[in-house]
Amino acid sequence: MKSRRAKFLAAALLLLLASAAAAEPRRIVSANLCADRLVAALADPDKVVSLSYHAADPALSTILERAARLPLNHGDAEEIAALHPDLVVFGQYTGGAAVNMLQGLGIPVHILPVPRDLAETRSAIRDLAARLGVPERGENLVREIDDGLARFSRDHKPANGRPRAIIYSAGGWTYGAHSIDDDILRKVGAVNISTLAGIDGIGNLSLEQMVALQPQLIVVETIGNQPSLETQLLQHPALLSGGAKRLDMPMRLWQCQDAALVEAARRISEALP
Amino acid sequence: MKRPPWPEFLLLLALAGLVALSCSLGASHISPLRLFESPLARQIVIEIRLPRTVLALLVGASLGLSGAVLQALLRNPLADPGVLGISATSSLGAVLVFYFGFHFVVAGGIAGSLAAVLILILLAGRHAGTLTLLLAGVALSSFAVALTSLALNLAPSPLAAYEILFWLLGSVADRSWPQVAMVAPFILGGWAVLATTVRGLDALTLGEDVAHSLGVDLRRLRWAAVAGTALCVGGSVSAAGAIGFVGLVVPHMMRALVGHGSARLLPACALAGAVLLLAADIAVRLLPLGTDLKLGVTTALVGAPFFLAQILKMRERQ
Repeated sequence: MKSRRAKFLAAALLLLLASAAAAEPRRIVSANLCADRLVAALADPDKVVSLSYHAADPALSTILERAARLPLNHGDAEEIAALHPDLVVFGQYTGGAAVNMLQGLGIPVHILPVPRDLAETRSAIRDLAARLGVPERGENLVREIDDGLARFSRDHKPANGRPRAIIYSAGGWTYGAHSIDDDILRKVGAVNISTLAGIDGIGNLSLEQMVALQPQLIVVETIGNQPSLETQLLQHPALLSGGAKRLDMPMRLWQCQDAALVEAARRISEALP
Repeated sequence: MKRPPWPEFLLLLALAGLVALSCSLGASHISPLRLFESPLARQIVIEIRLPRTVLALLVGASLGLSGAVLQALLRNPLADPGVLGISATSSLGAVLVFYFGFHFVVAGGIAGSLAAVLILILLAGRHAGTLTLLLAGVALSSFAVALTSLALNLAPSPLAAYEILFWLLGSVADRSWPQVAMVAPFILGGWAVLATTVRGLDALTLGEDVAHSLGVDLRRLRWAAVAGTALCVGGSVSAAGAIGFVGLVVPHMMRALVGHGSARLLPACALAGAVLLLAADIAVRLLPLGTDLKLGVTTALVGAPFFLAQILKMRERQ
């Protein structure tokens, strides 16, 4: 038993050393929007070989200039392998079969998780920065976000005196407790009415339930302007007939958990009654 | 079978009860009794529950009425906008207009249903047997559903592909007054056109030659039925998606209650269609499923067994 454990420890140590040796990738490919944005913020520009095609979408991207100068990928294993990367960053849910395929080809893959709240955001940024070999830049980015959000913290009034707000997306989707949305609404001194409805994580709040909770600010996150039934819900007259104020949040500020959240928080903070 | 003396009166009573219930039921447990004291209750009842209720009435009545007209015109007991693929084609038209940036969705819905009725008449011919017509409907329906799915996949909005259930099974949830107002004139216009078919349809039950000799202009009758159906089914589908079986079930039930005379049958079918669809929508809200259950599911649960029973009855008669 003991020798097996010793062997296991040795193997783990070796693996750790090996990953430390491989710690500074020189040909980085990102295949996910949020990964694009974090890689662009953290890695040396000359080490980034390709970004995902979403990085060139003005509705989603905060790094259009970088995207214009780089080849863009669609997350296909074949096109990515052809770039000879030594690190590919995928999103948690967007890699699909390409992740296994690339790993099978011996190409290292880092999966960027979708953080549920600010704490997970910090660790996701730190993990990616460590993998890119630039942990101090990860710390800097975490500090930039924390300090930025702290600037909009109001004096915490008692719960019943705080403005009631909600972040409401197409189709009635909203985030309650244990979410970034909730963290940010609390940071700017508002009550997230989704939590009052008992929503934990993501949940659906029908128009009627939402109106009944009498929000003062509705932050509307629309997925583009193209017509769909779900975005039509956000045009319903009942949305604002109770006197709530509406703030349209561009997707590029809300889609990814990075420094853009600071600008989003600023806009919410200014719109609060 | 003993007929209740005034089934229309009972239907009106049921309808009033269901309207009251529909305005009282919602996700937020706010009672309409507080309408006058609470602005919030007023907002929820008037802006959210009432347009949904009105739309259910308009759509249900349209489906019941057009089912009765189609069954009489085509002399086919299984004719119905859903079975014949008129609703599905209407959905296709609405989808093409709505998702590709032309906002006048009702025009697409009406164009779709008009195309379907014309194709059916061309395909099945004037003297088509029950089976030919139904097969034409099945083909048209499957084709329209496939193209609707394709159109939603190609639509610019990333959300479109997930909305196919609405267009195939229908819903009146969270529809707003502007959406109801957009389709209501066309639906009401369709009813008015269908109302002109009463005398012709009665004469037609005696056969085309007799109807002709009675002075019925068959061409005009056919066109009125086609246009009226296209207007009210197209308008309904544009706002609420395709909802099946209402137009099939209602005329059979009403013929048992008020007889075959169109002057009484058509209004009774409109009333009963409204009652049935509103009841279906209330059932959708009451079932504790936590998801947005589609209206077509509840109408199919009632309608499909009825459809099968009708087929059995027809087989026995043969």
